[in-house]
Amino acid sequence: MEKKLLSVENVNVFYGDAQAIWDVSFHVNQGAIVALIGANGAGKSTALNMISGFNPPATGRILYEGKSLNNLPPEEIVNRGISHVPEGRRLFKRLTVLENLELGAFNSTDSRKRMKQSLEEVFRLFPKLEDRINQPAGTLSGGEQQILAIGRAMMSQPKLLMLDEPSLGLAPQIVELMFDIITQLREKGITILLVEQNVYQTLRISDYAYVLQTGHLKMEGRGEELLADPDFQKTFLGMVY
Amino acid sequence: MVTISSLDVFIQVIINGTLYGCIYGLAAIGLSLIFGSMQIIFIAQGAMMVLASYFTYWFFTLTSIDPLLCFILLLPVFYALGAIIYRVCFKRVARAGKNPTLLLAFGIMVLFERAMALLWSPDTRSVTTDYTTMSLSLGNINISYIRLLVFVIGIAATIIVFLFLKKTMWGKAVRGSSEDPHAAALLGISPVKVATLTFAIGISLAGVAGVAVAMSYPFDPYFGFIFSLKALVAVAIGGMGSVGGAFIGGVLLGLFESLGSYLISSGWADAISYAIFLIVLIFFPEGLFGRSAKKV
Repeated sequence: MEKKLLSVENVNVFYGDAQAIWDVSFHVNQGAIVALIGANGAGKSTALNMISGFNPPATGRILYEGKSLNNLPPEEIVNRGISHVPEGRRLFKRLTVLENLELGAFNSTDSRKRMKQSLEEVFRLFPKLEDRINQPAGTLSGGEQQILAIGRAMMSQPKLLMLDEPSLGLAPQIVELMFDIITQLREKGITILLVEQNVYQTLRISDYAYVLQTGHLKMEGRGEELLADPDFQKTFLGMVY
Repeated sequence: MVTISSLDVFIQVIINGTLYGCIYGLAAIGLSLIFGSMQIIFIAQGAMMVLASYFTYWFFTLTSIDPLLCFILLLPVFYALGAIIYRVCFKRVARAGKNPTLLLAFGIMVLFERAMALLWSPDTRSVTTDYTTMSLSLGNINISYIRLLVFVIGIAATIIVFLFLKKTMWGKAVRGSSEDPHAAALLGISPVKVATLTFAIGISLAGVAGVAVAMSYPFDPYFGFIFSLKALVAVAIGGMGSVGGAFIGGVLLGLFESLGSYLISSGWADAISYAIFLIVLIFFPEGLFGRSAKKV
């Protein structure tokens, strides 16, 4: 039977006084690609920030490998094996490609010891990065920056990789490449929690998806089930494509 | 304007100015680091320097410990002091933005100045060792050994801080975190740890500069403020966040001041440094060695 890597149970999340997530539950199975989809302001990024410890839930539980993540500081959550590639990539633009990658292994002495091996692995996945190691990250193209952001997150050798809008602002053929990369990462055994607005392609590669609407969980199901669902088609596919 | 009476005097003025500027430079590196990573204008940097001067004076008069040893003895003390000041005073306030932190820094400055005046009296003190007046003579040019030492220490401190930032994981973390603290935190780089470290290093540099001041000049509890201002000017000349730039900015400032005093009148030294400050801010808002050119 499939093993749950992460489960989020009945969480409520606030920004100050404003509630952003209302009684939401979802889970991510080991080795799966799970997507959170929905329009702007649906609470997708909030959910990722909640898991990575920046905005812990007011009520409800986050369990990872059976242990609670509630109220752990962000650095401890990285140490447990969860890496978060934020929206807009947020590279250190003035640092070189290599320095960005090295900082990806900052979190623990273990990660630092494995640095050489992690670097080799990232370069095997993304050979282009190796040609540019001494270039400031800000001089890379949008697609290369996204790849570097993923590479940087891989440096801590995470079990769960959370990607927030990896295709945002990229040219269409690069978007294709990004979805290929995500599939490749899964084949390497990495579990992926994907937040996207690019609904059609996201559902094609995901094993399971949750649909959020203004902070509420509206629908869930396997990719093809959602794509075939008339309600879903009306709200999402009509809107996005 | 006075004409240059002799080449020797002119060279002497340049050397003195450069060496004087090293103390500005030392204070400026710390200020630049702290501003670069936390956007805090730590106006109390000068008061921290003078505190180190008093410690040096204390060690020297009470235990006759050589002031040279104080460079090493005071390093851990000021490193800890910097860490404590950040944890106790700035950690919470830093989130509130630049104005509250500037006010806080100002408060810390006043507090330390008054405390020093209480402890050591407002009288001017100085540290006079056997080698205070010794100097290296090259023809008609004299360079005091102490100033020469300050110069070497200034360059060494700049190189050490530079290597720390470029070569070590923590140094890279400081640079990354100063560019994007949230992204750094996502990678497990604790912003509080980075800020504590940066503050500790910045105040350690103030300590080094303070020992240098004690060895070179008479000082009183309020002597530091002018160094804070000059260090700010040096940082503006060198460019925020550039360690080498801050040091060179300090040296240039000392050089301009001393040339101005010599060529015009000594009363103009301060006016000249602030005029340079304004000119640099107007024409090179990112500093002479700033990052604007590298920005994407």
